[in-house]
Amino acid sequence: MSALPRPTPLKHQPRSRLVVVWLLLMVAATALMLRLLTLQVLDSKELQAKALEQQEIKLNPFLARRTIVDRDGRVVAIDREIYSLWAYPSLIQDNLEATYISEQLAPLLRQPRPDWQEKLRGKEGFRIEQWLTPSEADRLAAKLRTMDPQKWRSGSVELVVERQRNYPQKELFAAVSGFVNADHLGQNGVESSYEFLIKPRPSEAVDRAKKDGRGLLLPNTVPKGVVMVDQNKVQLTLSARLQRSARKALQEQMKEYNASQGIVLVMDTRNGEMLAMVKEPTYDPNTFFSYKQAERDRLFRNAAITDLFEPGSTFKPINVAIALEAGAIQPDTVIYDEGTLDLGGGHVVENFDLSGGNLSIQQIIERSSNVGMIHIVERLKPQVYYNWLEQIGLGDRTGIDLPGEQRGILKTFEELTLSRSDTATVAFGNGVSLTPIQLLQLHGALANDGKLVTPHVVRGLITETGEDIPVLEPRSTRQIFSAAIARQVMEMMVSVVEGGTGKNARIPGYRLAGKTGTAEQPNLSKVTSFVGIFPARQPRYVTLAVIYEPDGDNAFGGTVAAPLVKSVIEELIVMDGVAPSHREEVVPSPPAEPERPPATDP
Amino acid sequence: MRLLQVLPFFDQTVDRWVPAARVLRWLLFLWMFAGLFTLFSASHHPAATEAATPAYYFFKLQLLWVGLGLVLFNALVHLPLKVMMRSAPIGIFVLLGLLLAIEFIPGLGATRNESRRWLTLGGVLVQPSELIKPFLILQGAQFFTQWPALSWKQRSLWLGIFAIVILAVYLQPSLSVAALCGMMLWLLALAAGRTWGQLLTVAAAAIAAALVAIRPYQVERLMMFVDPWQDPQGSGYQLIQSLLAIASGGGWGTGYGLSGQKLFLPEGHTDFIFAIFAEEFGFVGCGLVLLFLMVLSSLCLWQANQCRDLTLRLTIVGTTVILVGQSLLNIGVVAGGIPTTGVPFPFLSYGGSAMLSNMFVAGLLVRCFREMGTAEVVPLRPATAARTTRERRRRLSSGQVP
Repeated sequence: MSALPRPTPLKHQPRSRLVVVWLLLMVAATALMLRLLTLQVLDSKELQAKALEQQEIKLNPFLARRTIVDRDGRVVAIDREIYSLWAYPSLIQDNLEATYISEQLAPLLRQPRPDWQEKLRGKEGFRIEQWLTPSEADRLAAKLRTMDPQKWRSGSVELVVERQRNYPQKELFAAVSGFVNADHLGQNGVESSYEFLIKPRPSEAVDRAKKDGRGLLLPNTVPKGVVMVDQNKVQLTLSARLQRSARKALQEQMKEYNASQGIVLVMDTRNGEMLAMVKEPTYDPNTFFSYKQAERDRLFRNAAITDLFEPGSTFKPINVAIALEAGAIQPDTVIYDEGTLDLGGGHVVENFDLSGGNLSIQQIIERSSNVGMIHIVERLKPQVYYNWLEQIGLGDRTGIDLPGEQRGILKTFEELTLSRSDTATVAFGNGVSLTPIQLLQLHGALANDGKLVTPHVVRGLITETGEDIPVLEPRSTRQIFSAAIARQVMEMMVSVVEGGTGKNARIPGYRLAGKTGTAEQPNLSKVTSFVGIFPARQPRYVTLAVIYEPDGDNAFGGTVAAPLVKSVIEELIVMDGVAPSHREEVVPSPPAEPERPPATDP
Repeated sequence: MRLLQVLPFFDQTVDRWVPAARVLRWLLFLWMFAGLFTLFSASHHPAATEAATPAYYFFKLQLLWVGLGLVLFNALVHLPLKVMMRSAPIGIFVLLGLLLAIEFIPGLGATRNESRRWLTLGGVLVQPSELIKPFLILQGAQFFTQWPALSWKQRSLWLGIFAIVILAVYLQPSLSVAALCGMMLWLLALAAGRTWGQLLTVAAAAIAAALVAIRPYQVERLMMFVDPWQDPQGSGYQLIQSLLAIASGGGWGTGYGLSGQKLFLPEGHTDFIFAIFAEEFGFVGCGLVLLFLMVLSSLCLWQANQCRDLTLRLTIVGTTVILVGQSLLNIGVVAGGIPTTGVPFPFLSYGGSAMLSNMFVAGLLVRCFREMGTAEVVPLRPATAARTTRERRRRLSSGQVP
């Protein structure tokens, strides 16, 4: 080109052509301006919504449920991660790739399904191996990351994390803990009633975060609190140790008397904390799904709060307290007991041993005299008596923090006063229905200077190091008897164990209050019960054992349930290290001087 | 200090330049640094994820290319256009050779993004189709200036060479760059005063040839822009993401660095960087960019109109069309107004070859503005104009270069 002559400026340089070029550029720029105006301002709403839709991700975090521990920190329920290895053969291109995958993975698998290598060449997605522990999953994940991307397409095999609720104590806490369903939601027990504490959910409003084009979450957009970082635990009031020994004793007793169902409850009288809540037969919450449908209700139901029964004689101390409160009797009142009593209408009430005579109130309780109790209650005006029964909460719930608690049954005033026998049966504890937990609660009030507390199984939330986090409202308490009267009744109950029907619960060196109960039930053969309060002075624990349908002529509250309560209280003594209040009973004489070893000198 | 003079900021001759050249220089710098600013935000995510490099990798590399480009820019500003003109045919032949070599010698070219061919030179990916653009401007300007003095043999020889260059670029395949080069040459012919008959014949022939040579996947791409929602996960994905980004910007934009779509948009740091800009700065930002392009092109074409040397004038037209025209083409693609073809936004998109090529073009443009004073040799002018000319001459005699 350099060889060409230098061009001279043309005379008629068409300047108008530059205007054409300029106009072209201006028109293009203006057109684009209009296009952007349409996109960004005029018609932007729809596209903006679409953009937001793909950028936002609605969080449905699969959070760990909090660990549940007992009062000493032993694990009752805990979440653990388990992994499954899934394969999606539709993403595998050819046999070569399938072979590569199986060659790479085979050495790392422990228990894969036997036909997994064939199924890789199939069509349907399947689980190669399940129940993988985190360490096994880590090894597999590392392998999947380092496999040659030229030889396989990642994504055709993946690890899926799942959470599994584990109950290391197995059957021990089943009645209280409940279990979780396939959606990891609580069913039954504390798992259900304390869902809000065990699995805190972030509110709907903060449930959104942003993701990028590969679907990965942007960590800085995740709202606080979505991923639970605290290691707080839900603490029960129950003690695994007491629970275990109570359960063992219950099982032995039930076996001996061939009983159909048994319950042992221990409550701290001062605050309503349940230390033990054992129900037999029970189930293993780890494998709740393996029980037959027909069996489930019988096994899963927490009978202590769902099953109503007529308490019989164990209700007598409550009646005595009412009579004392109403001024119908005094502690030194003497009542003549005929031994048998015809109530009319074919109802004849007789005492257990048919004995009678002039009895003090204490003796009536000690001997569990039915006739004596009728005389006591008949000293009360029916309306006053009925008001008292209502006031102490019969026909109501205790308000325990477990789902499914049944309301007791208190007849209407009209029903109760229909005939002499209707009132009289309530005097010795029949004709009213309540749950074992409510009977325990009422006795707890007698032991707690007349103050009724709300039984509960959850202490609250604790940190990893065991410090309390205040989350629960204090439970309500209510004075139902005066302290003086409650103590008077307690003294009468001590004599039950010392020399009355509850002798089998007696523990040498210690004093406890108690009351036996054996009651025929409308639909069951017999329910025996024993309530024990320990220690007799300044009581701390109230224990109730209820055994349903024990076999044998000798099956009574004093024989079936009292020894059970005794063994539970013995465990409490060991647990708390309670010194005997009557040392002389266990240490008969001072220890003898130890014998000197014989002298070895020749 | 003398060493630093290779960079334009330390160029001490600038105060002696004609005002228009100085204004142009600052407009171009504004563009370059706005580009770096935009890339900083747009390149972060692709660098960290797709390329699996440190987050500032692309930005740092681009800084390196801008640095090299500015040295080239400054060198060109001080190099007489005549020298450049002489180098144009050499440049064209060398780069055409490279283009044909990577097309027909297997193993020489590297495939990127399924359709772009690159040449690996000492570990650096070079894109001959980008680098050939400035030489085409120079040669086109020279050729159409000399057109009346050339024989039909010479004319058809060069027209043939131009056609081969465009075809070779098209075979890359780089449809958009081919189209851009073709349009640029056609506009040079237009500005040079070729008859409408010739112009329309060539345009018709080019369109006919394009229709014959078009490839099936390009047809799909070309038709897709009309309704990208037909295949939202496939061929329409990128354009949809781009439209969503632009619309998300709204009137005022999401703010610098706060684009949500840059996490979705493929090639958000290269060909589709304008969509990220549009999201972060809204219609206000986009309007300012278009206004800037309009002002810049008006300034250039006004200066071209003042210019009496046809070669200079055509070079200005060519450089303006390449810089502004390519920008408009890019915005058109990103906004779904024209078929989706891979064309980078000058000075904004990440890429070394494109940066060097654009710096080359920018340097040429500034050089043309500076040479206008010397090229103006018409004596018969009104007194004021004459005085201006005298003053310029005086200034010229004190310094060496205008």
